Amino acid sequence: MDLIELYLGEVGRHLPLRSRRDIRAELRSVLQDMLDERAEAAGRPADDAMIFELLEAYGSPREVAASYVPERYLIGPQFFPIFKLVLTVVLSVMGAMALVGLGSTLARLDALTFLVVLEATGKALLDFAGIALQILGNLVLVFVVLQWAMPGFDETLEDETEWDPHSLLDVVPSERVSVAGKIAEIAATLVAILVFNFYSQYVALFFLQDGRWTFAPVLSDAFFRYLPLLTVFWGLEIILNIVLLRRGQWQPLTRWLSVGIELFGVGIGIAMLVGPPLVTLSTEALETIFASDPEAVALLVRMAGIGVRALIGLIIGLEFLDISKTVYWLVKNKKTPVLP
Amino acid sequence: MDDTELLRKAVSELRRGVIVLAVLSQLSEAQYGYQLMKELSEKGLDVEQGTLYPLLRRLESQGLLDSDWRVEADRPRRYYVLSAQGAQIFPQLEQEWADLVATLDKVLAS
Repeated sequence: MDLIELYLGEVGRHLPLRSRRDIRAELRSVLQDMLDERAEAAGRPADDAMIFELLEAYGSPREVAASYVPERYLIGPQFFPIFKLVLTVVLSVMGAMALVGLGSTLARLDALTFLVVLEATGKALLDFAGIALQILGNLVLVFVVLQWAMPGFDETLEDETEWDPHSLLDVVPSERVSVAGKIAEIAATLVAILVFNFYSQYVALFFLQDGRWTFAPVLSDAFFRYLPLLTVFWGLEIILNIVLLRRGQWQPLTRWLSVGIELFGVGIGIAMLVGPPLVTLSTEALETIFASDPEAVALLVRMAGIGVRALIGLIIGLEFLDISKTVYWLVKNKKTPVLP
Repeated sequence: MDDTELLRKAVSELRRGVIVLAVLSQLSEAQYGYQLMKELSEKGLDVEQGTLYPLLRRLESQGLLDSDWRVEADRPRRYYVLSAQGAQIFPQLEQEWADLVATLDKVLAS
C-alpha cells in the first residue's frame, strides 16, 4: 500500500471526523509536492526510502494532527477552580463519613487484633477509593455537561477581555450571588445525593448492643420510592446554582427557574407528607433496644413519624413563603426582586 | 530549561503574530500552501508546514481568507486568497505593524 496513504490514514485517526477528509486531501497534495521536489533534487524517481525520509521530516502523525486541532479540555479554566473546590469539599465530607463508618465497624468488633484492624481499615480504604472515583466521575460529568451543553459555558477567558467596566454598576449588591454560599449549597446537595443514594444504611439509629455500638437503618421503602424524584430535584438545584455562579447575580429568568424548581420540591414534599411513613425500624432493632418496654417502642415510632412529618411540613411552609415572595416581586415589579 | 530552549520559545512566540501578517501579505493573489511556503522561504521567512497549514485553515475560518480546490496536472491543490474582509483589514494590519515597529524601535533604543 502507498506509504503516503498509510501516513494520511494515521494522521486522520487523530483528527475530528468533520475536517478529516479535507485535511487529509490537503496533506496529500503537500506531501506529493514535497516528494516531487526531493526527487527532482536527487535526480531520480521517488522511492520508498525517499518517502520514509520525507515522512520522518514532516513529523509524527499524532504531532501533525495535533497542529490542526485546538487545545481541548473537559473542564475549562473558568470552571476548574469551582470544580476543584466542590470536589475537595465533597471528598472531605465523604472521607469523614468513611472514618465514622470505620470507627463504627471497629467498635462492633469483639477483639481488636492487628490483623482484624488492618482488614477493616483496608476494606474502608477500598470502599472510600471506590466512592471517591464515583464522585470524581459524576462531578466531571456534571461540569462537562454544563460546560458544553449550556449556551455561553464554553466561552474562554479571552472572551472576557472585552468586558465593560460599566457592567460593575449594573449589579445591585443585594442581587449578587454569594460564591461561597452557592458552592456550599452545591457541596451539601451533592452530599445529600450521595448519602441517600449510596450510603443510606448510615442514616440510622445507633445503639449499644451487648456492650457494642451497632446501628439500624431508619429509612422506609416509601422513602426510597421518592428518592429518584428527590435526586432529580437536587440535580436541578445544583445546575441552577452553577448557572448562578456563572452569571454572578440573580436575574428574572433564574428567579423564575428557581420558583419552578422550588414548586417541584414542594410537590414532592406534599406527596411525602400525605404518603406512608418515611422512617421505620426493623423488628429486630426494636426488640433489641426496647425489648422490655413495648409502649416505648410504640411511642418512639409515633414520635419519629410526627417529627419527620413536622419537619417536612416546616420545609414546605418555608419554601412556599419563599416562592410567594419571589413571585410577588417578579409580578409586581416586573424586574429582578431584591431578596436577601 | 537551558538558554537555547528559552530563546527558541521566545522567538517562536515573537514570530507567531508576524506570520499571520506575512501570510496575508502574500495572498492578494491565490496560492496553494506549498507554493506560499516556498515563496516566504525565498524571502527569508521560514515557516514550518505544521504551522502554516493549520494557520491557513484558521484564517479561513475567521473569514480573512477564501479557498477553493483546483486540479492541476492531475493533482488537486487547495488555493487560498484574501477574502473581501481580509482585503479590507490587511492595510490596517500593515499600518499597525509599521506603528509597532516604530514604537519598539524607540523602546529598544532607550
